[in-house]
Amino acid sequence: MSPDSAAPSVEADIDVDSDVLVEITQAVWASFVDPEVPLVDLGPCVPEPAEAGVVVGSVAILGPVPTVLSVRLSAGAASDVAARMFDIDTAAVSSADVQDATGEIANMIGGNVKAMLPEEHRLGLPSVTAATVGPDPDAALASATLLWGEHTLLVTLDRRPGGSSS
Amino acid sequence: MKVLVVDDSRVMRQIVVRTLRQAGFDGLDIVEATNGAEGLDVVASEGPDMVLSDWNMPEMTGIDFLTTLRARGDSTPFGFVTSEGSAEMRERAAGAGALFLIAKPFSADTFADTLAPILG
Repeated sequence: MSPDSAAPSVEADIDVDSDVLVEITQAVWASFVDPEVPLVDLGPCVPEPAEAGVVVGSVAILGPVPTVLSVRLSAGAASDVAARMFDIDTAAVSSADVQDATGEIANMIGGNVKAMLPEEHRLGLPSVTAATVGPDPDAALASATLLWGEHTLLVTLDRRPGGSSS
Repeated sequence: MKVLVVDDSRVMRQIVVRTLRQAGFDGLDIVEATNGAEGLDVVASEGPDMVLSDWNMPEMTGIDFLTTLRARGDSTPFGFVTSEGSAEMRERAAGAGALFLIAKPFSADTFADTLAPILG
């Protein structure tokens, strides 16, 4: 037992680790994005400064242990994802399509994470923004870096800023 | 057969419709709504044979949509297609009168098995 393990912690209430994030994301990807090119697990995310053109889809998981599930990917990758989900050519993808598809990816992963938490939790509505800051390693309860072809995808489950439950 | 697909995500409505086709349910008349409140209007105006609804939506959630329908005496077959498939939510869905809850991600096989008794 580690010295920290006796103390109550947020992590003790969250039975979601990087392997769980990988498994859920791979299932979502295989069903709705790309059944032929599987996501390759590269391990927990390595924090990097925010890059221009990075899209972040997020959904809050509200309740006793409030968290945020986020998916970060490049604008190019987000367009490719939207094209596949809408079954259209990438050139025809609009910004609204990217918002919708990226938000739905976060929503599906978040919904499956929420299903593993105590019953009192509920899911917020997804939002999609341009990244202004990089991932916060201190906030991450679990994270995963996944490779899809030439694109890298970061999935993180973070403590919700401020810790509010609603 | 007319099927109402309710989801605030346009891409998810499209995926649900595509999956219905892949599951072998061809020739369906599809109508759509973006939330429960709009769904109530479409049920009243279109009289669908079945409703497939998301749970978590703005304006009116799927569970409030179903509860309102049943309170109005409307018994249209209703099922959820949602990212939240916990045992608690399945119980709430069944208690409110839903026939099933399909969790995302789903497959055409899941649609075929679950919907065959209704869509034949």
